[in-house]
Amino acid sequence: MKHNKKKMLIILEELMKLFMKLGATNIAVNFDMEEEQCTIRIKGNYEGKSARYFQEIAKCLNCGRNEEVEECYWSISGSSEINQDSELYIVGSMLDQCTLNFSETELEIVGYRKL
Amino acid sequence: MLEKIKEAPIKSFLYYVSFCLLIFSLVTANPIATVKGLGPILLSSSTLITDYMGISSMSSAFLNAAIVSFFTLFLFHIAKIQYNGTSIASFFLMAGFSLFGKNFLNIIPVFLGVYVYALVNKDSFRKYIYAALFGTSIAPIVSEVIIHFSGRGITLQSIIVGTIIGGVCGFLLPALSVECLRVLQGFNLYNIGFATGLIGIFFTAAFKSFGFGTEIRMIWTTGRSPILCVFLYALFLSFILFGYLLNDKSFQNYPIIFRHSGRAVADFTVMDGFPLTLINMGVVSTFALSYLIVLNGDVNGPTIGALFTVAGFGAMGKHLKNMCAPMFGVFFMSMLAHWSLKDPSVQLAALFCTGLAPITGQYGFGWGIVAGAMHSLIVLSVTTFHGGLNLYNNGFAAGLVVMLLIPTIESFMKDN
Repeated sequence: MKHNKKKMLIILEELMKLFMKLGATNIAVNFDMEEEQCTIRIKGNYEGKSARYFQEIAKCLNCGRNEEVEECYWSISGSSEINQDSELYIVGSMLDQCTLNFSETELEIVGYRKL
Repeated sequence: MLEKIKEAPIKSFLYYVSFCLLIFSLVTANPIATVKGLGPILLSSSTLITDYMGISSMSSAFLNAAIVSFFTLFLFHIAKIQYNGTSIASFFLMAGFSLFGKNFLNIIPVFLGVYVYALVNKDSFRKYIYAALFGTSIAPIVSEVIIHFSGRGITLQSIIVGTIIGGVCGFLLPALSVECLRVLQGFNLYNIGFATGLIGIFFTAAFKSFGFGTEIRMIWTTGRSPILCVFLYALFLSFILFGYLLNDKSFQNYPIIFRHSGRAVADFTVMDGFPLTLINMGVVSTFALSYLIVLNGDVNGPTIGALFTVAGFGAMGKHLKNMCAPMFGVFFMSMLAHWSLKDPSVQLAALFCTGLAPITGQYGFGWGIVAGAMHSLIVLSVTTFHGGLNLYNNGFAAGLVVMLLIPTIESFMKDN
């Protein structure tokens, strides 16, 4: 698959930007590249966001893997400092599955991408 | 995993639009004459601005649009794509531009080129389908070469050369469009117009060096046929009606669409659902049509193509809150510049400038007006660069606006 590593880095970068936008000061990243699947696990603290906000994010990140959208638009992600729903939608179209778990102070995002 | 968007309503909707185009083409004139009228469309140059309604007839132009629309749906079907905002936008661009520049023959070589690219890269064509669909904006190059290359009209040699050149354009598109997208950062909704503009510039220059010139045209029908206006209003208002019915017979929550800046990829079908997206498509296209009529514009192939573009991107970035500012910028510039809103290219600029809607969404109304004003100045001059071969001329101009404006805006922004 073309540009696979680049795309994984972009996914990582966009998710990191999301955490920084949430005011995270402590972010832990685990990046696991196996033969057929890559897993990105990011955990960090955040400030002042509601459950509804995370539902919106989850909606974008769980839009489902879409190769035709991915191939057309993947290069937009990672190109700017702005992190919005549009970038997260592109990330979502590059992931096969994404789970969000959050508590009052901590958020964890786990993304899976088949290679 | 959250429930994915339901695709069946989107698919049905696209078939509905295709059938509307087909029925309109067959009932507004004698069907046999309509079919015969395809001949001039297929056999004439298609460089900007070639209104197929002027080359042939309104019914034949719509028949061409219907055929291209069904062909697009056929491609969606065999590629097994997921129906969403991007598929809606690409469909409407195919349908709209089939009224002035794309026909069901000159788009084929571009698709073949993208297909070869997929084969060379050992990938499925499906991955590059949107590059192919949006990239058919360079289709006029095929017609131009086939008709004029040999100097003796259409010959077997010119057909082969035209097909190869169209194929080369298609082959270049997937990689080039990705890089152009990176540069434009999603602020220009007509990203591919920038890529095809670059390709058009290269081939125009190459053709000149080999003694082959392309011709910029102005085939533009004037006026506003009542039956056409009624059809368009009925079509666009039906989008609102269907959206209303699908939204449990209500317009509830429609304003949530305005929260999006519109920057690519703002797929409203994913973020807000297809019913609200459909309402939005109807609202923006009805607004654009009303704008055209109130300002005494012409309702013809190119302007309908622009209206369809507005409608299509009503599923992927445009809404009333972010598209008005660029339009106002064009309107404002018309009061200062030596051209008027009635000029054909300016009529198109006023509608197509909405491709810069994300600038308003991201940076505010003021910058949106600046973007629209700049767009109106640039777009009137850039057609000659690509010889009229790039149908998304406004997309190319919008790309230049983004490259000029965004770094300037960003330099004024505080670091967050």
